[in-house]
Amino acid sequence: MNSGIDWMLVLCVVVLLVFGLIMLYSASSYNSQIKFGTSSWYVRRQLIATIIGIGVMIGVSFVPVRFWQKAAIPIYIVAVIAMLLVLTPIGEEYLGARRWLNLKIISVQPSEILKIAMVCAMAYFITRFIKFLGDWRIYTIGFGICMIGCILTLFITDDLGTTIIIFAMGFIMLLVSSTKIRYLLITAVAALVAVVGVILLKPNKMVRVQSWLHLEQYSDDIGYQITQALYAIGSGGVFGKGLGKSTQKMGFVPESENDMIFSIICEELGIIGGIILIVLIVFLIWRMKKIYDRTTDLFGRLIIVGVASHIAIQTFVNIAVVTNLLPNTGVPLPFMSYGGTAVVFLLVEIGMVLAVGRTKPEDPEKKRSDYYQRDKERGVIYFQ
Amino acid sequence: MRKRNRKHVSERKIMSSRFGIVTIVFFVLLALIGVRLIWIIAFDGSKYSKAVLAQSETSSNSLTSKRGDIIDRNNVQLATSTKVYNLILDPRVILTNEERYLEPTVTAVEQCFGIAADELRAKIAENPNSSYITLTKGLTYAEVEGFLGMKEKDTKINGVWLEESYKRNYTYGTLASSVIGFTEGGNGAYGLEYMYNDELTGDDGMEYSYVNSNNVLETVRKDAEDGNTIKTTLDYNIQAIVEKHIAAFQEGISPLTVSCIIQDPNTGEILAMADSKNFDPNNPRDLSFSYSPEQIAAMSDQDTTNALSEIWKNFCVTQSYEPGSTFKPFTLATALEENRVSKSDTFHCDGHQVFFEGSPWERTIWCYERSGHGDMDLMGTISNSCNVSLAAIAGRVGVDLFCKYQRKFGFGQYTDIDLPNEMSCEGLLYNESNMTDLDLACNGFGQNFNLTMIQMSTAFCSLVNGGYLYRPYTVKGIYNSDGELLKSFDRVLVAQTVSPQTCDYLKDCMRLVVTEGSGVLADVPGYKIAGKTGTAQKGDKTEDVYLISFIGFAPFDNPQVVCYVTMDEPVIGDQSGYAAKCFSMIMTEVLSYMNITPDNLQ
Repeated sequence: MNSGIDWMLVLCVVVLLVFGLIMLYSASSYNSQIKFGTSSWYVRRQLIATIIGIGVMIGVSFVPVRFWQKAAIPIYIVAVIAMLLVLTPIGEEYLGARRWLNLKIISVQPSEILKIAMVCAMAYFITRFIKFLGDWRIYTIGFGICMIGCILTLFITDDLGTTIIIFAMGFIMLLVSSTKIRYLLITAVAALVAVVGVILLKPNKMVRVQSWLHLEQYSDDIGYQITQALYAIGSGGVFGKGLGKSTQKMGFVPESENDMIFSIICEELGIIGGIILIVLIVFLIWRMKKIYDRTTDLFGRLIIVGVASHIAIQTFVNIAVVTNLLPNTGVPLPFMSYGGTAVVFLLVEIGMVLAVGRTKPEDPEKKRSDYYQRDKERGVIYFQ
Repeated sequence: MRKRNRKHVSERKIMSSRFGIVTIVFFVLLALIGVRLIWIIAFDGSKYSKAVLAQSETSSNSLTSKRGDIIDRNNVQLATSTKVYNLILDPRVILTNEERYLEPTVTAVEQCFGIAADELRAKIAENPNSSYITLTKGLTYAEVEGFLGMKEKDTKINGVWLEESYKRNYTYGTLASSVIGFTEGGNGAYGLEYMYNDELTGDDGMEYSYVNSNNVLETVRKDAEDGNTIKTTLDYNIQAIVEKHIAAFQEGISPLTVSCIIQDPNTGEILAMADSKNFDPNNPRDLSFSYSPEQIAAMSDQDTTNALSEIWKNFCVTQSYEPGSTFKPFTLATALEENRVSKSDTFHCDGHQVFFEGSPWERTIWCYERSGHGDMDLMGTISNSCNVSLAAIAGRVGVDLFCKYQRKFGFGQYTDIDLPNEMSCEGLLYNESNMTDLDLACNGFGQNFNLTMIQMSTAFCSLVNGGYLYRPYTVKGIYNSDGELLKSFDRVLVAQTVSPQTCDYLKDCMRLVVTEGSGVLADVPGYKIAGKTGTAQKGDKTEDVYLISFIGFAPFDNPQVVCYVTMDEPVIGDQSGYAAKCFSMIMTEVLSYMNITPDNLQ
């Protein structure tokens, strides 16, 4: 514990990554063979991204948290620009969704960058204005940082799932920061109204809600993906068909290497496999809560809140969709789904949490005397 | 200072407790998913397992097989199947991402196939849940090539695909249409296409996936097996000659139908078979080959149906009629074979003969020559085509023998030719128990009973080949798609009808018909043609409607071709010379085509 690195958390992340790569290989091999003539196309790219991600994570874990606090706003601006670039010709389309930036060598999904940038910016803002969050104007500005992210993801990439996740992350960060409950309630109600509004206005979203409510009627078209995912989970049983023995991945579950990977995990490893995955995520969040509790630095704490919320909510939303608890929104499963940008930036987030964990708890007395020293130098006179 | 510190601590506490609550909420949500998973397994597990098994087993693809060809005796292709493409629209796929697919797809389809984009948009909008709308059928590869290229390049073109199938193609259109028939929905509907449907039809292949015992999905492909090729006994050239001439006579004297069979008397093979009621098997519902536009326009639905069955019908095997004088050689052959006449017998004809004189059933039969033929020898009865004499000969033969020989020659029975809808005429013949003397007399010169052209032609073959009655047939062999012979068909002897001596005598009689009798027009320069004319009065013998015919053979000493021409209700009435002329024109070309050495005529 001398280095300050939470090795339990690192272990948990490594287990998740290895588990993820194995399952991705299994779930993607058939589609990969069909599309690219080799069974390992997806897993090779994911492996490269994971290795890069681990390198970046180690690097980030040595970067002092202070750095992120100072760089928060510039990073946020870069992320916003990256989002806007999707609209330019370097934006890239896949399966009818324009969500990527084609940087010649690699494709990057800027909404993944936006998540971490938004967390930093919110953390910076709340840390700075914690005393004034009771003022509705300050609160609105803080919330605006989150809302800009939401608006960008919703209107540029038409990605309601990611929008909801970004909103939830920002909302939880504000919730934790001892703000007025009244404001939070208003925000929550407004967000609910906005989501309902979007669903009602966009026919393609409305159909998804209908197919969620009446899956049987839509099992051949819009609900096909979810129906097949449920078939996969149901046919896997308690212990599963065995690793690599999924039949649903063979052309039945669309996107089996992506949003629907959880259904293949359950088919091959049973609900035992699915529950183990959930337990690993729970453990990860619990470790983050531990770091949170021993961190005194507000900015660091808020980073942890943001990152933990990201992982927890995204995991929940993804699996809830696959098990038809929520309408199909299309968010990937952290550590499992195919997606290079996602895994790299997820590991950046973990790296930041590790960096927060490394920061020595401040001695309140020392801090006070530091302030005293500084103020004395500035000639501030204390009246006691 | 103290106060500030306290406030700071309380803030931290609030934050800790709030994030604690948030974490617990996360855990509860994730636990909820665990519960949901257990729920799925507990309540729907077996249902979903079955669904997975069911869809794995039924995942299959049909691979279309090619229908076999029909070729003539010299391997000329008469019917074949060519690969074509059907353009299928899948609105459901397009609507999965309307913005992306709709416009590029309808534009491409309009550009490549000339289907209006608006029409496509309407179809897609009207059938959003359909996955299979046929837009165009029977496109050739050249027509779809451009579209396939575009589709490969542009992934935005989606929801339109080309289904491979085969189109039946009849190389020579109307040629031999009555024999070949046509297909409907991939199955033979008439003619050889119907008769040999099982041989021609291939086995469609399948590509299916199933889950094996190790729960691994396996794909099995069974290739389509193409249908067999049937080689007919028809000769494309002879068939074409025949059709050319019957078409000319149809045009010239407008009978209901002109029909012709050309048969090899030594085997029973059909070399050509045609009637003037033609159709194009490529488009079997087109009446224009047999009816004028005015006639077609005037037809009611019922008329159209009747007209269609009329053109699809093979006159030569399906239509029965009274043969008339062409039957006379059979009567004489019977009498000679049973020694009821002697070659030195003479006959006298007054032009008519009265039966049942003085009774209510009194009836007179007339000769063509109403003034009478006078005295004649046995050969003269045939060359003069004298009804009175033939009635007398039939009377000598008697009812029992006459009926026995009719059966022996195959009349009133199926010839068993390999063509559909053959008529046996069994009920249209008299038998021993119901034949009166008048019936016997009339039957003797070919009236009052019915037969089909194929029966007549087949029986006639046995009269000229030494008495061997062979089963007529139109298919020589069946080959698989690789060209290997699977089955071959040879001549089948059905009966021995008369002795060679009788045959020789009758051939001499029939030679006389052409040299000095009623059939002089049938002559072909350079050949010793022999045959018999026929003028059959139709119906109840009161109207002047006739079926005229000529049946003959060549060469004289070693007959290789029998040709039978009939004209049903020609406007020229009872002049059988037209049939003889048609015979002559056909045989002139056929004999030269077949390289048959001209007879030595001194």
